[in-house]
Amino acid sequence: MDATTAPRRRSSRLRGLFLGIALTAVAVLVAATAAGGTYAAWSTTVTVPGATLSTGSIGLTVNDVQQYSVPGMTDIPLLPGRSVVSTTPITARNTGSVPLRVTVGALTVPVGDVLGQNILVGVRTIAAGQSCTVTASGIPASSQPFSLAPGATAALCVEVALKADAPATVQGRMVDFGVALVGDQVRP
Amino acid sequence: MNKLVKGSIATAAGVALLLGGAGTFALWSDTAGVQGGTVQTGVLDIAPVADTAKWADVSVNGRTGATFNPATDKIVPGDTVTFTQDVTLTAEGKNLKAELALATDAAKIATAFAAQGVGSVTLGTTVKSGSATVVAKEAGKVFTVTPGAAGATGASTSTLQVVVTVAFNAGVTEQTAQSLAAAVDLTKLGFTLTQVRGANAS
Repeated sequence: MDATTAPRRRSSRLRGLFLGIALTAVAVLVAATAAGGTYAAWSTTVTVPGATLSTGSIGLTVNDVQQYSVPGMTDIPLLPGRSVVSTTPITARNTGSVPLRVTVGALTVPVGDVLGQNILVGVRTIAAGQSCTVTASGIPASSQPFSLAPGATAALCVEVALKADAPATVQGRMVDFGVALVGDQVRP
Repeated sequence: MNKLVKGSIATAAGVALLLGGAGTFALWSDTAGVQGGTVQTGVLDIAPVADTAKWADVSVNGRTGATFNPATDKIVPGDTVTFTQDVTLTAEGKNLKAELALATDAAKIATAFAAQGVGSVTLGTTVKSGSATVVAKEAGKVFTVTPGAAGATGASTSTLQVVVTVAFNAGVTEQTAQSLAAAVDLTKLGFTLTQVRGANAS
């Protein structure tokens, strides 16, 4: 040990001493803090045989498509107080997994069309295997809601009438109209 | 590191010297033995009761009480189904209290199903037998379980019925969350019992 290294060794010993004291203080502080709080001690987990849940679906088609154009509506010209009907019923199908209550939405016609404002449309269910016929009075009955179970089908007739008091300006005209079938889920 | 050890030793030596300097040295010495006894640790365990897992359809206006087969049945708006499982709780120890909750990753919920107001997965539990008490700490999520008096074996054993409820809100519109193959995945379903101290222990 020479004169130049002795003070350095002494200072390094002192540093070690202080570090030891500091660490002790930290350990005491940590222990005291932990004891004062809330913490988990024991913990155990059990697993049980669960499963995967899937959600169902809702779906409604007309003749198996989302939008269907009813044929034969222009075969017979409309007259005031008379109606026309497509002979072959259309088929509404519930393609989802929930029971539906099907309502017939409002008639849609081009805005301002004079013929469109003077027609009446009725959608009704008929028994399977039957053909659609015009209503004797010439005024189709108002559309009624019907139920459709999952996978079930309903035969529908679409009947269009020209109001008896239609003005002469509707003569010789054509109009595209639309009717929406709205299916709402119902609880069994 | 060496310095650290030396420093610690020096501190200890210093403390010992300080303590020693304050008293007097006795020449006579005597020792008396005290029978301290043996200290034992307790037990905290949760285990499933075999053949008690079952699914049920508990929809308010539907097939109430009917069985539900998750492999084939699909849930639709308005449905509420439950998974029920009995578990045995074994606890032994003074001041032992625990919280029961769904294990981490117990339920994977599809984003569309988890969306606000669409569907929910909640936990419930009731004491089926035994003297344990259950108090909801966080409704539908966490329950504080206090084991009852110890039985003949020294441990407190109770049977809890744990119910996981999956509900599909009837108020959703249009085609919200339809055709989800994995709306709620409970294949890793588990329950965790975690001992609690401090504010929760009395």
